[in-house]
Amino acid sequence: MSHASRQTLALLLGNALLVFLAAQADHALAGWQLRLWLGGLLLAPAALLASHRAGAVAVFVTGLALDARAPVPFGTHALVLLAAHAALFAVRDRLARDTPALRVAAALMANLVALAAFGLIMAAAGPARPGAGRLLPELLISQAAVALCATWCFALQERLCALFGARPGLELP
Amino acid sequence: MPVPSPSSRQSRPFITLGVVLVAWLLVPAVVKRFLRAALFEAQAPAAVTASRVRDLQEYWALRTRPANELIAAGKDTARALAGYELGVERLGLLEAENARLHALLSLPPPPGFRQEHARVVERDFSAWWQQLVIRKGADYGITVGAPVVFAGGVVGRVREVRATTSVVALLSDPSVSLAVVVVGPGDTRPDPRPVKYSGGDNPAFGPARGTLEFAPADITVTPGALPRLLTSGLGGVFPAGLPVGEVTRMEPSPDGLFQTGEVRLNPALATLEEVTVLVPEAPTALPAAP
Repeated sequence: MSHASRQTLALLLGNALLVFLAAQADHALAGWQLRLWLGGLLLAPAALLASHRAGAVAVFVTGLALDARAPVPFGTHALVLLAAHAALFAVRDRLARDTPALRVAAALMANLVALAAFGLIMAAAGPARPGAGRLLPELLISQAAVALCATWCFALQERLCALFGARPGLELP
Repeated sequence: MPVPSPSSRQSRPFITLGVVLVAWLLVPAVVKRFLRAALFEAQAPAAVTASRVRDLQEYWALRTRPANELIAAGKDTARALAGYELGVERLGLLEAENARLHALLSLPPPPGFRQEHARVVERDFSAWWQQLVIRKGADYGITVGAPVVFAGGVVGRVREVRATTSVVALLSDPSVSLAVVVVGPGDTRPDPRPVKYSGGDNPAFGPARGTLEFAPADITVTPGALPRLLTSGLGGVFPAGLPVGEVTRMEPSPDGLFQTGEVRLNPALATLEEVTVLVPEAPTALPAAP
C-alpha cells in the first residue's frame, strides 16, 4: 500500500471516530436544541499533517459520510470541507505547523469558515431561516468544543498515521 | 523527480477543488443515491450499537433501585393498565359503532394503521433540520411518509427508510407541514376550518416551535388560556385528533385576510426515547414525505 493510501486510511479512521463521538454529543445536546459543528476538527489535521492527495480524499469521503446522515443535497458537506481544506493547505507552508497553539487557531478558523459557508448554502437552498438565537449559541459551543478537542484530535491523527506507518507531515511530490 | 514550485503547490488544492466540483456535478444521480445509501448503512451499526449500550446503561441503573420502589412502580403500572383495558373495551365498541355508521352511509372506511414501536437511536437537531433515527426500517415494513406519534401527540413523518433504521423528520423540521384544526380553551370540539402548520425556527435552550399560517381572523390567544392544535385528518397521512401543540401568539398576516401564529410544541419531543410508527395498511395512499 502506498504512503498516501496509508495516510488516507489513518485520517479516515480518526475522522470516523470523531464523527461518531460528535453524533453521540449531538444526541445528548438535543434536549437544549443545540448541535455541534466540528468541520474544523475533521479537516485541519488533514490539511496540516498529511499530503494533499491523502488529506483531500479523507476530507471528501468524511464529508460524504456526513451528507449521508443529513437531509441536504448529497455532496454539500463534502465540497464545503474540501474547499476549506484547500484554503488551509494553500497557506500551511507559511505557518509554524508544529506549534499546538497555531494548530488550535487553524482548526478554529477552518471551523468558522466552513460553518459560514455551509450556513450560506443552506440559507440559499432550504426553507429554514434560523435566527441569531439559534446560530450564535451553536457557533459558540462548537468553537469551544473545537478549542478543547483540537490538540487531542491532532495527537490522535499523528498516532494513527504512525500506527499505519505513514509519517505525518511527509509531503510526497 | 521534479520538486513543484511554491506557486504550483499553492494553486494545486484549488485546481483539485475545481476538478472535483465539476466531476461531482457530472456524477449520475443514481450513483449518488447508491453512495448515500451505502455510507448511511455503513454508519448505522455504530449508531445502533451506541443506542443499545445506552439501553443497557439504563437497565443497570434501574437494577440499582430498591425493591420497594420497583414494587410501588409495578402497582402504579397495574392500575394504569386496568384503566387502559377499560378504555380498549370502550374503543372496540366505538369502532364497531363507527363501522356500522360507515356501512349505513356507504362511506369508504377510514385509513387503517399497524403500530410499530421503535427505540430512538439518534437525535439530530440542527438549525436547518430536526430529525430522529429510529431502530426499525425496511425489516419491519416501515414506509416513507408514515406518520410517527408518541404519548404526547405527533412526532413527525418518516423521511427515509433503510435496512434496519429509519429517519423521522420531526414536527419542528422546517420542511414538515400539515393541516391542523384549532381547539379553543374550554372547547370540546375543534373549529372545523383547517389551518396550515409548518415547522419553524428553533432557538437554543428552548422548546421546539412551529408556525401557523392562514388561520381565520377570529381566533384569539389570551395568556393562560392557549388554543390547542390537533391534526385535522385531511390529506390522509395523520389520523384526526392527535395533539400537535399550543398556539402562543397570533398576529394579522400581511394581506390582512388571515392570521399567522407561533406554535409551542411538546418539550418532550426533544428527549424522546421511544416512538410509534403508524404504518398504513394501504401504503400507496400516502403522499410523498418531506
